Amino acid sequence: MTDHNQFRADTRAWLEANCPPSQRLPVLEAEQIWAGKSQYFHNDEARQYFEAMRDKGWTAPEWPAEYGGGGLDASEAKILEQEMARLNCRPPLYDMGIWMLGPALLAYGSEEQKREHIPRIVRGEVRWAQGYSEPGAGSDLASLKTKCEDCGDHFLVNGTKIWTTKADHADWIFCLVRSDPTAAKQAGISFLLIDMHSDGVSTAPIKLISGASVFCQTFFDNVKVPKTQLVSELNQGWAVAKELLKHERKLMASMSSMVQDDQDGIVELAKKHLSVDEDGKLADGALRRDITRHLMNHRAQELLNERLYHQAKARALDPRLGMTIKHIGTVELQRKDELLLEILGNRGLSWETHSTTDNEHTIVKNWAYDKAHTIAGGTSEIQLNIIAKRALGLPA
Amino acid sequence: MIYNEEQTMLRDTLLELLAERSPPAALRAWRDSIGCTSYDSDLWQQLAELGLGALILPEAHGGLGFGYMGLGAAMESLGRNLALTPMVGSTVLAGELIERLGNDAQRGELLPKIATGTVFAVAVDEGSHHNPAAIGATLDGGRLNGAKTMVLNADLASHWLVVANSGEQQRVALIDPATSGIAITTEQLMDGSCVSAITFTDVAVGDADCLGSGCSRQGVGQALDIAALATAAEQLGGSEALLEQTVAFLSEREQFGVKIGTFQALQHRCAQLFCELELAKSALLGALYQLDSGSINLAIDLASAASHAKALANDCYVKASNEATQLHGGMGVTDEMDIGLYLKRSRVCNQLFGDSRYHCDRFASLACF
Repeated sequence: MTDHNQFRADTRAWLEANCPPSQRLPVLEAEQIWAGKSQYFHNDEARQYFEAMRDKGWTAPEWPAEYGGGGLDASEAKILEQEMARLNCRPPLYDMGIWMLGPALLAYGSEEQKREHIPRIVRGEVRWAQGYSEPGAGSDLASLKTKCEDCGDHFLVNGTKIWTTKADHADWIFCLVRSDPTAAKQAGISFLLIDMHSDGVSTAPIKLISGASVFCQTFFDNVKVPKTQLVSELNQGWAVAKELLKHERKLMASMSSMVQDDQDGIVELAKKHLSVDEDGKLADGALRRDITRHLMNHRAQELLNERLYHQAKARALDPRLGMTIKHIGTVELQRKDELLLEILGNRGLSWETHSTTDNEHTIVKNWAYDKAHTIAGGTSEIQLNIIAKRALGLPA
Repeated sequence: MIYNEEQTMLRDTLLELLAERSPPAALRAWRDSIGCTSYDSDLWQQLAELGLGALILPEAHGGLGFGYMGLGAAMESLGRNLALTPMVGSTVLAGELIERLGNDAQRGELLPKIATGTVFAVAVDEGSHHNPAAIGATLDGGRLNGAKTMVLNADLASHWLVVANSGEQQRVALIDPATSGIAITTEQLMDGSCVSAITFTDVAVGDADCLGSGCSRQGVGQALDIAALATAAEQLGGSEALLEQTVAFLSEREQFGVKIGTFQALQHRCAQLFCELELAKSALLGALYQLDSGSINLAIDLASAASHAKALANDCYVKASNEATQLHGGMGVTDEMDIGLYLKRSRVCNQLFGDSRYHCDRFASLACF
């Protein structure tokens, strides 16, 4: 306990010293620090902060120190998270490698693969993309068709992946490929790491309803992949994919709570745009109740995460709880977006910035963008299927 | 925010005892028995011997130190089994009032009684809705006047505590039910439980008969909040039982040649309910855990946490009971199944210590909007 108090004090002091003021403001999309060769810092403070966090391994606090990670245990990582939240520190690095590939590689990768890839992920040198979905394989992911042929000294990959996040800026991509077309669905899939700079790889951005283009379609045309880039055994990729999906769902839930942190905002905005009675209460009782409902659910969601943490610490994890957080978090985020839009009234209709403030513009764009959250990483309907069958044990 | 070993053992012991002694079906028999009272004294005696009266009391007054998480574990078990007890009305509400408001002599005399299961009744509500901010009963010149409703276990209690206004202050008067000037009517509610309406006409109350000295508003508020949390635990125990029974039914029942639990539309309704149940449970456990760890500001945060937990628990139990009724098909609307007992209990629990409308309003006001 005392050790943890010391760790908290040290962490707090270190963050105070190393997280500059501009890195404590709510993060704008254009100021996110993404990994990779095209890494961009919006100012010098962003670079200093990233480098300081990177050198401590705090871009991946819980990964083993021997691969460059922070080497923190779960309690220490929680303390770091709390202290970062206390100062509103921005995430130091955005990357699918940090969020998803790393944990899967640590679990399934060869020693050689860990040594090659993990330190570069921690240091933000490589930006990773995820190659899972295909135009014909969404919720039914295991029906994927991207072909992987064994050509003796290398694999030959042909096919296409869709919803590859920021693939046009990615250096590497981790992919699920069909390596045995004769085997039963899940049994013929392998997990490959592919250098995006290889001959035959190309990407095309997809324009979304929010106007953003964070997703691409990625094409593989006779791409040669060295055999050392196969993770786990041939045709054993589904197990790796499942491990990784767990992390993706956790991430989706935590991302939705990350953007939701500004809970005072919704109340202030409502008071600004709608009438308030002499006691300072919102005059519109229905809206007041809707906001209350949202705040209550949001708070309950935070407490659900606290509960998971307490369970994990006591090694008494109820696996059913974890299955709920993606669905709960993303649905609540959309409920908040709808409320914000309702509060803005006709000011929530402008699509370009000139007639609205930056904040209003962000609300509108988020409203459109966040529609993706209940789809990406397993739709809400798939989440409910999982809860029904695995948490409740309803018949298949 | 998880039960420790003792709390888990308490829950399991209670579940075992209640499964045999007072399963949900016992409520049906109790409801239909002639001249029924607000709880089964023999069962309460048995539970008191187990220590239920002493769970949250300080050890100096005969308490067992199970903490509020322990209270949650106990209430969850009672809720699962639809057991009618004076747990919330007496042990929790009266116990907390005496603990928070009583002077040393009163605490020394009364708390050991609570610990051993002596039953008290607390009269707060007036009118059709729980609203402790609008008390009409008065205590002036040593005379208590007013009309109280929804008083739990007053028909059997040996001591009553009555909340009344005395000038600008609020006081809690300790009353002997045999005092003259009292008219009580006890009525059975839809779920089979009983509550009393009591009228006080110039009932003599000595100054020494009030808990402590000075205004009791804050202590009453805190005691009501803790009673609301205990009720929330009962509600979530009931909701969990309903979800389990529904899942079991859907896994058995066949139509169109398959188990109806294979239908996605029905699966999703159960999954959705599970999510809401776990959210509500998180709100409740958060509050209980904070109370035990002393990390809650009693003046501000307890009210908000209690309103949070009670509002979500109200809605969860209502939804769970409606869904369970529908998903049990025709059987769900028969008195043969237990579902209807939970359905009715949920509506009674809703009104105890504030419905969702009340708690949402209070939560928003506390957050300054």
